[in-house]
Amino acid sequence: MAGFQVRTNPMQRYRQWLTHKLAGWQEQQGRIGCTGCGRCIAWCPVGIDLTEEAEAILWEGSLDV
Amino acid sequence: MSDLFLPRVAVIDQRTQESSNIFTLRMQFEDSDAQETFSFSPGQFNMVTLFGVGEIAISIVNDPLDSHFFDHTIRIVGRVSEGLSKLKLGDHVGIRGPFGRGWPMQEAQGRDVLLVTGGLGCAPLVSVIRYLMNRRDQFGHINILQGVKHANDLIWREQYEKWIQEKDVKVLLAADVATQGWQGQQGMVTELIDQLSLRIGRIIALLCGPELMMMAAIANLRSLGLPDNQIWFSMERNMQCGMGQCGHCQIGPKLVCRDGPVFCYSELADFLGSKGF
Repeated sequence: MAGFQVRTNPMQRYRQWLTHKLAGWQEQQGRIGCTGCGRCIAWCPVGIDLTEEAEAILWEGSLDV
Repeated sequence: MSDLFLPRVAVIDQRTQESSNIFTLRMQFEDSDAQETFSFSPGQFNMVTLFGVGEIAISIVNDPLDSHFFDHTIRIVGRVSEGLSKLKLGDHVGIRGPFGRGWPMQEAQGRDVLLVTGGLGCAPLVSVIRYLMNRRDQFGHINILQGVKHANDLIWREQYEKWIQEKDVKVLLAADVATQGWQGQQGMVTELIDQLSLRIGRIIALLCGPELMMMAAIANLRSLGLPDNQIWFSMERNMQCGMGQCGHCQIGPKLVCRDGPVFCYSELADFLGSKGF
């Protein structure tokens, strides 16, 4: 893996953040990675709403970015 | 805190130059109790620390029967591996481990074993080959397919020549770039699969190498009718903690250091080759 990047573009890293927090975390830790506090939505400097993005992933299908 | 977080000091006993940029370090723990209680299974890895520089995940290439020492075969690719290459006999490294889930040696009992490796992917499987050779009566036919980019990259030539002498053992080599005197095939290692007369119903396949090579081998084996639960492969990811705490090595829900590095194809089929995972 030396010198090799798995997630080379921001879209892949963004997808990783979302799906890890909401999906992967559950199998790894036995619970969801989001406590539902809403701070990320309130303070996001670029206006990302986690709930809207999760819905987009659910209904728009493919995770291949 | 578990002592798995704390590197233990090991001393370099022997150093072998395998090729221009690949070398093997044989080491043992400074503390003899640590050496005596150190046990691992083929396919597991250690986190090897070069003090003051960093720590990298390296597979163990021995048969677990080798209890007085352990070997790491390393290619120079970065800061730590380059530093390790300069160590001399008697120098110290730090070792945490062993970590991860190794190869399914129980499931392989009594079966034909097909090993397909690419490049230095042979290292994690050499432990298996040694395991098989030392317990030859417990396994069926053994087919070893090893591919390299350039003929000069092939290491452990003498060992392959020794293994090929054993009963019901086949070794086929392939190099993308062959040189004069190259004994193997020119081309991709996955093409060698077609040259074998495999007893599909009895086979377990163990793969290690670049992901694209493993995906090609998996596609080939599945088209021959090998079921997904008989295809196993070792994944490589950036490992930092080695025990599923930090998340650097994850692929989807799997943590490669803890749930792998060896996976059954049916466990990772959805993620293998999926970009960004």
